[in-house]
Amino acid sequence: MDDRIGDIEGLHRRYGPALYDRSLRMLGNAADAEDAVQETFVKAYRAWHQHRYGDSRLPWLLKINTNECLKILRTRRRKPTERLGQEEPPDAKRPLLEQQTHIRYLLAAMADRVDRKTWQIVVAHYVDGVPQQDIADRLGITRRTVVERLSKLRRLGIRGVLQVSEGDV
Amino acid sequence: MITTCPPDHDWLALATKDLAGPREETLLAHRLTCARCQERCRQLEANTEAYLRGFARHQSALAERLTPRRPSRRRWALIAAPVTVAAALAIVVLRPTPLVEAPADLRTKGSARAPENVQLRAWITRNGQTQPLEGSRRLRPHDQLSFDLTTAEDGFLSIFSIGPDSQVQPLYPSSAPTEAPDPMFIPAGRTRLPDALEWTPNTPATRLVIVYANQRFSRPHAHDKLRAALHAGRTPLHSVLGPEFIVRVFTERGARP
Repeated sequence: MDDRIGDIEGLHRRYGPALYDRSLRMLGNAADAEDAVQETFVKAYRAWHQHRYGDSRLPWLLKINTNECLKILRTRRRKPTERLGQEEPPDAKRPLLEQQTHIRYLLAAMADRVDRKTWQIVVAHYVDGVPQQDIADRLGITRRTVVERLSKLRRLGIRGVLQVSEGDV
Repeated sequence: MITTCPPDHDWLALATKDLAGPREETLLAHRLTCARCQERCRQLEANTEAYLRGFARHQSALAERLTPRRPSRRRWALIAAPVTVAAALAIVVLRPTPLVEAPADLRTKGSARAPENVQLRAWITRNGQTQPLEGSRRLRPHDQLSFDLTTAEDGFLSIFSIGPDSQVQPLYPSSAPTEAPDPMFIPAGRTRLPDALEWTPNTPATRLVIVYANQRFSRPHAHDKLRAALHAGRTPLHSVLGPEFIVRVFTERGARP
């Protein structure tokens, strides 16, 4: 068990900052992003034997991190806290930040409306920018399923946010 | 050279050294010509630095989460002194599934369901002999009450006491939630809670509330919710900690202050 803790701490050193960056882009504030990173590694510790992504741990950790961010977004929607509203408004002069802000709105809007698989697809597509075929391979589903899930989201009534995001992705 | 911007995933992989060879060279070449990707890399770098500034704190918090805590006997004894044993026990869980195995002398109040994957047992130690807590047994001064919990999956536990004046006090794993804001980690399987609560002659009747969840929760938050429920005239029977929590309360018949 001690070895496993040492391994997790080593992974934390290597991947923690990148996961923090990704969580921050999804959640919009540092405290939530730190929570998401910590929960990611706690879950990784518990699911250590489930790692089946070849040599790199990054895709595995990203998948866990995606689910943890979903949990935080759902909790935040149920229990609005002082953390909400602290985000900076979109900055039209900085396209990258504006796009990231729109994606964050998109994620927050759909957190309670999609299942976990769809959530994985959404984050891989809009946050990580992964091509659809790669998403399908990573999740063990067909590309058609990926396309259908993304299309279904557009029918959920969050088209406005999606259109803005897709224009930049 | 790539003309469209690479997926963000590639920048992360580059930062974590999971990318090498031609792909890395292609990315770096693209970055030289793309203002958007240069900004993205600056952002990634800034976020990395921000995280690394608090890295020691993050690492230490993570290590603490990964290592089950065992509170010291001294502290447990201190907080145990003013407590009269079990008048009420509550189980709070995140998932609404059935059945807590309660000792025979504990009866259920309320109709809420408890999880089937959690079994709680209470034990009484008197004159050096430990036995399951039974219905007809009355508690005496210096009796010690202890608990064990059998769960199918990892979970988290905290204990609060409710005094005769309806004051809620945190008890376990620490009486100071600010020092230990997290509940105690309970690994899957059977866990005997360290040490025991001792009933002293001078202690008033006290209810114990055991809060268990299969996800980490905030002790101060649970404390506030219990206190609010009591102030609102509700006993902690149901929905105390939010709609996702289910509570079950047991009352011990034989206990007399």
